[in-house]
Amino acid sequence: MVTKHETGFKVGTVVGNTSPQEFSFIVKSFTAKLGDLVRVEMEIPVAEGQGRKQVLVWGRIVELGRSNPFLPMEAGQELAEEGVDLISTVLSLSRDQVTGRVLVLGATDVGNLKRIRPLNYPVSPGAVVYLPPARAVRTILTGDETVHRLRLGSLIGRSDVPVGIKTNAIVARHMAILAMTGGGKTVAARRIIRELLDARYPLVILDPHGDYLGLWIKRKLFPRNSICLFYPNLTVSEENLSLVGYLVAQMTQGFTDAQRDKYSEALGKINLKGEVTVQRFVELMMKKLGDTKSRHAGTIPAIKRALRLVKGRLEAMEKSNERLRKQATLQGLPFEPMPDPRLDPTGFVRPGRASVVYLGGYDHLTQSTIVAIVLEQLFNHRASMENRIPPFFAVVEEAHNFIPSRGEGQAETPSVDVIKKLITEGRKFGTGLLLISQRPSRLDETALSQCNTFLIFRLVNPRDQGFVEKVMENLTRSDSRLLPGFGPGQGIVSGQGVRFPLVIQVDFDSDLVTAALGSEEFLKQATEWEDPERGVGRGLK
Amino acid sequence: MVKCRTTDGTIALDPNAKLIRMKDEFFIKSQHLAACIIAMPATTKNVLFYFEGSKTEARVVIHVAPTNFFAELEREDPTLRLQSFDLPPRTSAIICGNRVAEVIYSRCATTDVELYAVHVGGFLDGPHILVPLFNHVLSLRSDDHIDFPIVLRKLADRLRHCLTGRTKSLAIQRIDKSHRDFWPTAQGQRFSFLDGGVARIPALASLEPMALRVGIYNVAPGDQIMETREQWSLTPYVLGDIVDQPPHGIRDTTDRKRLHEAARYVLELLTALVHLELKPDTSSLFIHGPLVNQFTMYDEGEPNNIPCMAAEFLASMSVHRSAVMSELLDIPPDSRNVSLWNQFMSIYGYVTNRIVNHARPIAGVVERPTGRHVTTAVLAALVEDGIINTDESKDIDDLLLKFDISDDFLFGCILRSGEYLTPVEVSKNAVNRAREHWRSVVAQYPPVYTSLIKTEETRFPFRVELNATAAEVNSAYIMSLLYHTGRLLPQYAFPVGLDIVDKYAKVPDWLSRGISAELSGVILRRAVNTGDAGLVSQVRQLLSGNPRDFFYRADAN
Repeated sequence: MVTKHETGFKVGTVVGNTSPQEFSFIVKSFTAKLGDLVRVEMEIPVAEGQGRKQVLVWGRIVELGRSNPFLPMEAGQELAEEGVDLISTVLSLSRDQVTGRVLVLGATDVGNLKRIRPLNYPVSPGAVVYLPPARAVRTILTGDETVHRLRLGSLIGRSDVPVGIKTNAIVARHMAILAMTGGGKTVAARRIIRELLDARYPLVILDPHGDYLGLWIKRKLFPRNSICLFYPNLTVSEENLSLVGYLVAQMTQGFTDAQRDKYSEALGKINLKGEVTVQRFVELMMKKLGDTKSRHAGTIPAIKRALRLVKGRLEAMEKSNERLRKQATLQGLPFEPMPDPRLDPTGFVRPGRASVVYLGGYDHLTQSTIVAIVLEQLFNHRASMENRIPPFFAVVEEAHNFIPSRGEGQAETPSVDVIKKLITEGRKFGTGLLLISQRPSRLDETALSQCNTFLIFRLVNPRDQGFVEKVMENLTRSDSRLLPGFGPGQGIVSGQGVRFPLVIQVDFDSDLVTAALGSEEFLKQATEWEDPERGVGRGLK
Repeated sequence: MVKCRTTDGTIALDPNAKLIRMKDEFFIKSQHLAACIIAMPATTKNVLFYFEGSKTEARVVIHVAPTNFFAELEREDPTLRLQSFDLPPRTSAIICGNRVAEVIYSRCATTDVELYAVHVGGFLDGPHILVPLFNHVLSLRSDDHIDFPIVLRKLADRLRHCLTGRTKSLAIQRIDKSHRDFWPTAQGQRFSFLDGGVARIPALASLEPMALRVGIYNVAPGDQIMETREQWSLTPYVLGDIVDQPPHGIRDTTDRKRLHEAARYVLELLTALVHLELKPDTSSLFIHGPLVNQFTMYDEGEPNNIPCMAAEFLASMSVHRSAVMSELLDIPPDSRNVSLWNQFMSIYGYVTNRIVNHARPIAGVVERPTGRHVTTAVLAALVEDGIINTDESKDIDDLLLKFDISDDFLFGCILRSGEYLTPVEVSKNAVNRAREHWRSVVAQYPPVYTSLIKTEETRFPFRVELNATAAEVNSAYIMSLLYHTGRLLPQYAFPVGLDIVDKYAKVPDWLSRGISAELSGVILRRAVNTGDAGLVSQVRQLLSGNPRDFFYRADAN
C-alpha cells in the first residue's frame, strides 16, 4: 500500500468523461500548476474473470483553465465604460473555478512505482487527484533503470524533482534542441555539454557564432578535459582531389564540358605528397594548366579565372575568420588550425576532449563544406571499425544551415547528405548528433524526425510549432499550445531520453557564462565610439 | 385617441377622440384637438397628423412642424422629390406608407420622442419581446390580433400620461444611470441576495424533488479582503425532515407539487429571517422571487392535503407555536380540535408578516411580472387621486381583460429605461379564494409595496416587492441599487446579485444526470434496508446534494 508520506497532497477531483488516455479534474485553488505530475488511485480489471486490482494512474497536467461563472463579461464592459472597479460593486470575484486536463502517462502497481505500464481502463470519475511527493515522482521518472543520466534541470515548479535524460539515448540516438532566440538553447546545450564533459565523453562542437568558445575560458571547471579551439583549415590531399572542383562548382557558374576535360587533364598531372592548403593547390593547378594546351583559346583562361575566384573567396573568408578571432573579446584564445579529420582524427576526438570548430567569417557554403568534411571523415573512422577514435557526440549549432529542408536549398548544402547519413547510421557506430536550431520549420523533416530525444523551448512562430508537432510523435496538441508561453529555460523534453514527456526548467549554469563573449552592450559601444571628426566619444544624448 | 403638444409645451391626450365619417369625408372629433388648434399661433404653417391603427382602433399624433420643415427635408435629401407629393401642401396632402412618410415620421419622432412615445416602438420591436408578443397575440381572438399593438400603445400612452407629474403619491420616477456616482454610496454596506433551488434526481423519475436548497450571496462592495467581502451559504432542506409526522404528515393524497411550492415559499423566507439574525450587519436583503405569493391553495383540505410543518424543524428555525399564535389571530383547528398553527398556511402568514415588518429593507424581485396586480393597484390609486374616474378605470380594465394585457407588456410600454413606478400597496391574497376556516388567517397576509422598474429599453421591466422599511425609508435607494445592479447585466436586464445567487443555488440537471438511476436506487435501497432513519436521511441528502459542495468541487483539505 502507499504509505502516508508517499501519498502527497490532494489537489482536486476527477470530473466529467474520462478515458484511459486523459481526464479532467477540478483543481483546488493554488495547488497545482501546468506541467505537474499527478496521480490518481483507481481499480482496473486484471484479467478475464479474475477480478480487479488497485493501481496508481500517473499523468501530466497539460491544460489549466480558470473561470468565474459568477462574473459576467458584460458587467466588466459596462463598468469599464465609466472607470468603476469591479470590487466596488456587488459582483462576485471570489468564485474562480480551475479546471485541469491531464494526459495519462501510465499506471503502476500501488506498491511498486518503478514499472509503469499503459493504462487500459478509463480513469474513475470522482477519484481524488494527488500531487505526489518528490520521492515518488523521482521513482516514476527513472523507474528501475540505473543507467547513466545527464541532469537537465527539474520539473517546472518542482525544484525538488530533478530531471535527467538517459545519456546513451542521446549520444547514439541523437537529440534536437529547438527554440526561438532567447528560449534557452545555448543554456541547455551548455548543460548537456558540461554533463558529457564530466563523463569525459568526446565532443565535436561546430560553432558558427562562437557561442561555445567560452568553454576554454572556463576550462578550469573541467580539469579532466581538454578544450580545443579550432579554426577551419581546408586542405587537399590525394584522397580529396575533387574538393576544389566541387568548390568551383558551388562558388562559380561551374565548368563547361570542355573546361572540365582540361581541368581533369591538369589534375591528372598533379602529384600530391601529403596535404596542401586549398590556396597552394590552386597555385599548383594554375601552373599545370599553363602547361596544358587547348583548341579553344578561351578554355584555359576561363578555368584559371574560376580557380582564382575560389582562391580569392577562400582567402577573404580566412581573413574574415582571422579578424574575428583577433577581435578584443576573442583575443588570447588559443585557436589552432583544424586538424585533418581524415589523417588526424584523434586531434578532434579523444576521451575527455571537446573540439570547438569556430566557423565565424565563412559563408554558408564553405561552413557547410567544412562541417561535411569533418563529420564524414570522423564518421568514416568510426564506421571502418579501426578503433582509431572513440565514440563521439557532435553538436551542430544553427542546424537549419547545415541540414535545411528541401525548400531551403539542400542542393547548395554539402553537409545535408553527411548529416543524414550520420543520423540514420550513426547509432551503430556511436556517432551522435545534437542538432540545435531556432527555426525548426527550416530543418529537414526526415533528419529531424530521426532524432530520438527532443528538447523544445519557447516557440512563437506557428509554422515552427506546427512543424514540431508533426515531427515529434509524442508531442500532443496541448503540449504544443504550451510552447509560446514558456519562459527562458522552460521547455518540454520528450523521447527516448525520458520515460514520458516532461515540462522542465533547465538548470542555468551561471558559472559557464562568459561576460566577454556574451556581451551585447551595443549601446555602450556606440556611446564610447571614437568620432573621427570630433574626437573621442561624445556619447549618445 | 388624439395626442398633441399644447402651446405651453405639455402633452394633451384625448382618449375619447373619435374618427367620424360624414359622407365621403372623415373628421376627427376631439375637444382637446380643437382647443389645441385654436390656441395655435396664426403663423403656424404646417400641422402634421400621424395616424396609426386599424379599422376599429386608431391613434393620431398631431405635430406642429416648423415653417421650413419641408425645405429642410428637401435640402438634406433632394431625392425625396417632395413636390411630387404636393409637399409642402397647399391645403392638405396625404402621405401614405411610402419612404417620404417614413422620413417625415422619423424626423418628427426624433425631435419629440415623448410625444411619439418612441420607446414603445423600441420595446415592442425588440428581438426579445417579439417572441412573447407573438405568442401572446396568437392566444387572443383572431379579430383582436391586429388591434393588440395599437390598444397596447394607446393604454400605455394613457397611463404614462396619468403617471407623469400628475400626482405625488404615484408617479413614474427616473434614475440617472451613473455607476461612477452610485457605487461610492454602496461602499461600507453589506447586501445579501437569496434564492432557492429544487434538488431533483431525474434518475429516480417517479419521485418528486426530495430536497430544496436556499443559497445566499452576501457581499460588501469595496471590501478589499475577499474572505470578508463575499460570504456564501447554501442550506439544504430535505422535505421529509421539515414536515410533521402522520397524521399531519405527508399522505398518499398529498398534492406533492403544491407541497413543494409551499415548502419553497416558506423555506426561502425562513432562511432570510435566520440570515438576518445571524448577519446583523446586512444593510438590505434581496430575494429572487416575490416577497408574498398567492398562498390560498396550500391548506390541509382536499384535494391539496398539504401537511403541517414539523414543530422541531420550526423550532430549529426559531419559529415557535407561541410566536405564531400571537402574530396570527384565529388560526383554525383541525377536525380533532388541534390548532393548525404549524400548517403551511399559518406559517406562511407568520413569516410574511415578519418579513414585511422587518426593520431592515427587504425586497423581492420578480423576473417576469405576469398578472395584473400592479396595473389594478395603479388604476385604483389613480381613481382615488381623482386623475381618472371610475368609468375610465373600468374601460381600461375591460381592455386589459379583453386583450389579456399583463403588467409586463403594459409597463414595458409605459416605462422608459431607468424609470420605475412609485411603489404601490398590492394585496395578492384575496380572502374569498381561501377556504372558509382559513379566511381570517389569509386576511392577515400582509400587502407588499410593489413597483416595476425597467433597466433596458428593449427588455421587460421586472417587478420589485418591498417590505415596509424598504418602501417607506429608502425605496429610491433600493430602486437605484436594483437598477444599477441590473445595468451590470445589460443583456439580461436583471440584478446581477440575484443572477449570481440564482446560479449558485441552482441544482444543475447535468449533475443530476451524472448520478445514474442504478446508483441512486442501489444507495437508497441499501439505506432503507438498514432500517436506520438517520442513515436514510443522510442518503437522501447525499442524492439530492449539490455537486458544487461535495462531488463536483475539489475538497482537498
